[in-house]
Amino acid sequence: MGNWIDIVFCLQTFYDTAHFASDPDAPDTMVKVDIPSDFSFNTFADQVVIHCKSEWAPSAGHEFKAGSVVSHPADAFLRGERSEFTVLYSPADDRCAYAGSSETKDYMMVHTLEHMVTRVYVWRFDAETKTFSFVKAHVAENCQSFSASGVDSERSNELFVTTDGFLDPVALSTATAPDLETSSPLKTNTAWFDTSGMSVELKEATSDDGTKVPYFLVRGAGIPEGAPAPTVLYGYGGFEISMSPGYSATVGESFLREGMCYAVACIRGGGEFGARWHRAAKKELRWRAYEDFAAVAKDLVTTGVTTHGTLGCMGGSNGGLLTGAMMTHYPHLFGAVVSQCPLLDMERYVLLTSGPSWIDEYGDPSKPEERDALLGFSPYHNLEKSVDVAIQERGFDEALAKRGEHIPATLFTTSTADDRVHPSHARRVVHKMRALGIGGKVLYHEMTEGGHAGAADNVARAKVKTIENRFLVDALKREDTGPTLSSL
Amino acid sequence: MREWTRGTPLEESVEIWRGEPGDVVAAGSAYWDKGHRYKVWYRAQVSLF
Repeated sequence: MGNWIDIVFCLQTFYDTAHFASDPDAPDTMVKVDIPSDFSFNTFADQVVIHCKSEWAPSAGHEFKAGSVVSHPADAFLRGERSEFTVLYSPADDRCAYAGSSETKDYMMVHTLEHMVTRVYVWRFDAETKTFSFVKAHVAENCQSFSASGVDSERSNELFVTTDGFLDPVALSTATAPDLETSSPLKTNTAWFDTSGMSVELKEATSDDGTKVPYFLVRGAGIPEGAPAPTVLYGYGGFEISMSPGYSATVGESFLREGMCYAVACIRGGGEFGARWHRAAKKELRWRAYEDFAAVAKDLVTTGVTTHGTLGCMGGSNGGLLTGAMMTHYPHLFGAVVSQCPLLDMERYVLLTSGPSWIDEYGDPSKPEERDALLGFSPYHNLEKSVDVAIQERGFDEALAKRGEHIPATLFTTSTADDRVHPSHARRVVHKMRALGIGGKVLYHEMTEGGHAGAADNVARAKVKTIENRFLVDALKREDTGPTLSSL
Repeated sequence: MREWTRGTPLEESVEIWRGEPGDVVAAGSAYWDKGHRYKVWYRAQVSLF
């Protein structure tokens, strides 16, 4: 039987944790583990495994980059020794991030996302010498999401492998560590659309400040080589949430089978490259996320994938704020906009439902300097300005701009029962646009139930997805921008 | 958090960790890691989301 180690985690805030473990020489006494409070702390056999969220120099000669993963014999570590580290992962650059680890009896799989590609580093642990040695790395194919977890990490080296891609339904297979590349399929989700003639590509746009912004491009069926096709661009860009490849029956059926393309932007505010990528678009830096999304929209056009008139964008919640900001600040880049369950009034968002809990993300409108940044992009507060900009900076005919002709065909969807983002955001923007006379191309759909997810059950979900996707197909493919106010 | 040994009365279990009134969660688990025994507790005071 092995040695006993007691560990107590004390989570001080969402990101801060204090760790306590039993003193290896006095098992009844708990000692605080001396690591920074945002580091994660795990175990593998008799080793501690530490993910360094920031740069760490625990002892002379041992300096680890932010994002590194290191191991150390547990007892020695808890006695305060810092001399026997093994570096299991050290990111090559700021586009490489640790994404978690999994284990089998003899192997540790370090999952990473490197330049948006999933790469798993496999390490063998020798129980006799108590050392890790590197075996090989596995790269996920065709931009798929990939994970491998131990079936029974105490007793075997068998793995469950899960893959998910834009054109590949979620599949479960088994493999044996360290050979992740050879797997036996167990079960695959239903393939809902024929993927023949489709392809997936990872591309990159350049944002206004020079930052490279990755995006996935899925090309639909039957698009002639080099010909622009109607395209839907999806994004979120907040709360350190990453956009990862995944199968969507509705995207495939609605857009890809119809000869359209689908793109997913990995803009700042998300977690694609770790906490730094998130922090780069928080509070007064939020505008960076919108520049990034606009940069991807422009790149889709300059590279011939689509044209501005046949490019649509879609996003929900914080992503609804993103697409609402596109309608307000970048209307010339899009032929259609769908904004789902959006935040739009960034002055009063703190007064509505869950608003106060997002102050850390967006900023506090009661603080003058943060309020200025919020009002600078808040879609609700920039509707009049969008008319002026269209006339003065984009050469729009004054009469047409004042009728809202510079605004792309736009659909807002929300729910009466949304208890996270209040429907008042979408209601008041649509009301204000109509009052200003610029709401002619704006449609609004409010479901009476369903909460923040937008729909209560699959029937309601099918209905609202049909409304949203049909709106985009009509606006982008048939260039039918929908009914105007006068015909409603 | 009390440590209870199989076969002994629950009342004899000894408190080894306690959350605080401001915590939103205080929990833990004990596990074997390849022959090495660990106990892991955690408590959260603030949840941003």
